Amino acid sequence: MAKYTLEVYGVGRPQAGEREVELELEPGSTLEELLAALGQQAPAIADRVLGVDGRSLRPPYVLNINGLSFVEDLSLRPQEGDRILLMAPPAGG
Amino acid sequence: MDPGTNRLLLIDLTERRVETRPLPQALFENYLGGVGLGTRLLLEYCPPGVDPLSPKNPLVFVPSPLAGTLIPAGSKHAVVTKSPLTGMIGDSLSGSFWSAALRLAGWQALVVTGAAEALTYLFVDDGRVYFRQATHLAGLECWQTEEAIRRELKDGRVRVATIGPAGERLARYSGVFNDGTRRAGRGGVGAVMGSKKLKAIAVRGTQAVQVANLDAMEREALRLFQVAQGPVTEKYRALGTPANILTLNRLGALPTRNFQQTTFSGAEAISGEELYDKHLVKVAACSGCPVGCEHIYQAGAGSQKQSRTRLDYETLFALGPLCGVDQPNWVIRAADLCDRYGLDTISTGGTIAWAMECFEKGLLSLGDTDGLELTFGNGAALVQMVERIAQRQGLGDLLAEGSRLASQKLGQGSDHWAINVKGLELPGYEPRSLKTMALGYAVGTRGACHNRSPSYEVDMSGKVDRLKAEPGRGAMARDQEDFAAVLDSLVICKFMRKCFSDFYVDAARLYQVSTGLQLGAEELRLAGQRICHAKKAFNIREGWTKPLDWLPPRTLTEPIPDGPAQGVRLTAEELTMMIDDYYQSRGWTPEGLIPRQKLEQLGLEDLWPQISDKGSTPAPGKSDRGGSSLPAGARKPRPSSSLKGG
Amino acid sequence: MQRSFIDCDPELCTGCQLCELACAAVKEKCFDLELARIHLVRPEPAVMMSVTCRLCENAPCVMACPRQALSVHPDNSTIVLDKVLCTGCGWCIEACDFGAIAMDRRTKTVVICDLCAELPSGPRCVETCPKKALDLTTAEGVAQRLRNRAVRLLVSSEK
Repeated sequence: MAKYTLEVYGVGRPQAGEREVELELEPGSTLEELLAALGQQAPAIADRVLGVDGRSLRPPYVLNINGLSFVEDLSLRPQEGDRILLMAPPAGG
Repeated sequence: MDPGTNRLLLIDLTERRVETRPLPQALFENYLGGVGLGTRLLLEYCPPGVDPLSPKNPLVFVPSPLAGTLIPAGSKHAVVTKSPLTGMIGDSLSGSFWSAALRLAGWQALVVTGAAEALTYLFVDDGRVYFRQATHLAGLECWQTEEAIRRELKDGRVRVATIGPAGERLARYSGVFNDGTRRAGRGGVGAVMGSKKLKAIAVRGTQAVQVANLDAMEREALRLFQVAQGPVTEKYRALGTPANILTLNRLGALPTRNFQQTTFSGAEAISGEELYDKHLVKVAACSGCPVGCEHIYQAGAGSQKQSRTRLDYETLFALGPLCGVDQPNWVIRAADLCDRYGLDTISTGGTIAWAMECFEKGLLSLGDTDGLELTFGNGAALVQMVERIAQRQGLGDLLAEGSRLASQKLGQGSDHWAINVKGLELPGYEPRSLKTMALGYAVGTRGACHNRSPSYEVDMSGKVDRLKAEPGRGAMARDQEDFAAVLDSLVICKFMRKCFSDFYVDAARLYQVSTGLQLGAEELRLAGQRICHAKKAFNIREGWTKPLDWLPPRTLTEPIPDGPAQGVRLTAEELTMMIDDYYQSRGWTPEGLIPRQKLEQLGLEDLWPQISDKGSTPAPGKSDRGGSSLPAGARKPRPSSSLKGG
Repeated sequence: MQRSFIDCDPELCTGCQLCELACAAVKEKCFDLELARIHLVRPEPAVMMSVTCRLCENAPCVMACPRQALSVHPDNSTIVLDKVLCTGCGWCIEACDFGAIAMDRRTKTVVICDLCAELPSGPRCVETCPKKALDLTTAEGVAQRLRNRAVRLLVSSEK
């Protein structure tokens, strides 16, 4: 099993201390599988962000790897140790 | 369109004369309303080359043709003029009750020209206009002015757009504020109003607004109201835009200490989450808006307890991380003062941050600051400085000019960290970290702006690498500008945009059921292009040249020092490539000028005579990068041969 | 049986004024806010709530009218106006504690909320309010809402 860290921003209760969610999956899992795992392990968050299929994000939520690239392709396989950010992209102001 | 409401109110403050003019339907078909129509009226009523603070510079107010109806988030208005901060077009947006009031009073545009002899306020009472003495209102804060006028006129229905003491003192980034928390903030529209000795415009609208298809509007509106409660707007309704602090910080795109860093150690302390937890008083809405994004916060503890203000991300960034301040109480206090005095928070924060860096580098002394330790992170000094800017006291007099002019006066290389484009201070999106946004900042007609150019959306989309500059960004930035221009002209608040499944089709429908004008999606898209070109044409007419489309030296010479994008640089070559790419995608010349055929394509050929002789780039060696303070058309004096004897 | 009236929850109200706009639209077929039967009141940026007729048990407006032009509807207890008898004197406006009855400047007679009795979907403002701050409820309904909220605030860890 490999450990993946999800950092969650601004979802659910604004003061939720649960910004980091540790997920354990098979090594080489895809982002899609990670989201499905989120649905199992953190339903309070998942309920707000997952699409009806439970394996994708509903707008406006997006994923970002390590604070660098935003990703649309959920078949991507993050490396172990990658930090996966889940957020509504910053906008406006 | 209801002929009763497509009228222009022309007010000459010098002659104390009022005139009504019809607005031909074609103007709405081509420019929609808001910023678009405002730009067209500015082109008509503003003589070329005027000093923005002279009586000849008109101040144009154009509400949305959708204001005062059930169209969601349609109650907005544009304030358009020649900016005293940039010398280019100064268009600013505000909203809520005042916007609706203008339409309920029966007006679709207001043009104010000239200047009054003594401080005056206008009272637009449905179809009648009164010039009222305002000397007793001199120096009053914005909300105080609103209340005083309502008491004086004995009617709570009166809505007021006003300047504060900062506008009266012609601070170059003062704004025109209305309904307590709504602000036409950027570009110094308040200074123009102050130069006209116009303290406020009070409006009482008691007439009926008619629409073309009320049944269809009611159905569409009710459906959209529900969509507006869904996940696409959750961020605005829950934490609001202050949620951007932690996300931008995590991405290394949160400009900190005058753009010296891209992450802020105090981000958690100043985050949207912290503000929501400890300081939130109420979440409210503008008139006509089903979203409700207005987060009103209160400072706690000690002397700041009275401070209460609506904070959005930009204000929070500019008075927080940009100045190194990580205590919400100080930020709320500073923002509250900006509200009271009528100052644009982004430019206020940006200019004070410039001054803080000058102080830390020894270019400003304690003597210059009258004993104030103007260092990054000093919240008390930040608040003091806002006071002094509003009153033009001491160093505040220099800072009230904005970072570009202030750095030109101070010299000593301080322009390196005067973070502005064309004189307008940068908003809270780090350009080195968001390269499409960097392009959007550089080419924006009103200066560096994330609203007129929401190009950061491209950078966050996953379709591009935000840390790379590539061909193709030009067309993307162009499309973002056109899209924003449509929203800013319809006017529909940008926070509604994700509620539309097919934006141009849906928006055209909303415009149609309200105005009766049969504009289709493609015509709407074209209008966006046209409006951007009209704004650009105004700039060219007023002396814009290519060197003004650029970014401040810091962003092109210093690599990102921290965060996930550490080491990334934005180079002059990259920027040049993207700008050229953008000009090409616009169909402009390599000098960034609009060819005649392009104007004709957009139905703007009547503007050709105004710009045909403009825009030659200065000779090599006299580069204008960083902006010129010379008025358009001015010539640099040459040594006179007659001085050399004889 | 308790009277049902339109009540606004100030905790949920965002001051958007859509109730007032929707009311004017459904009653007058245009946006004439002077004739809306419900009004948003927002004296300060952070203080807001909508106000309309509360269908008072002993309606002061009815008692005040010198011409007996106002009466209470037998079915839903809304205030009914006999336009022929109304002189536009405004005494009812003085009597109402809520400013819920108002003058139509054109006809010089008064207007007041009738709960959109003719609409199958019920009061338009309640249907429109995006935050569900408006409710067609009774005095008992309001009391229950507030009791529930008070207990949840005290006993639960949720805000």
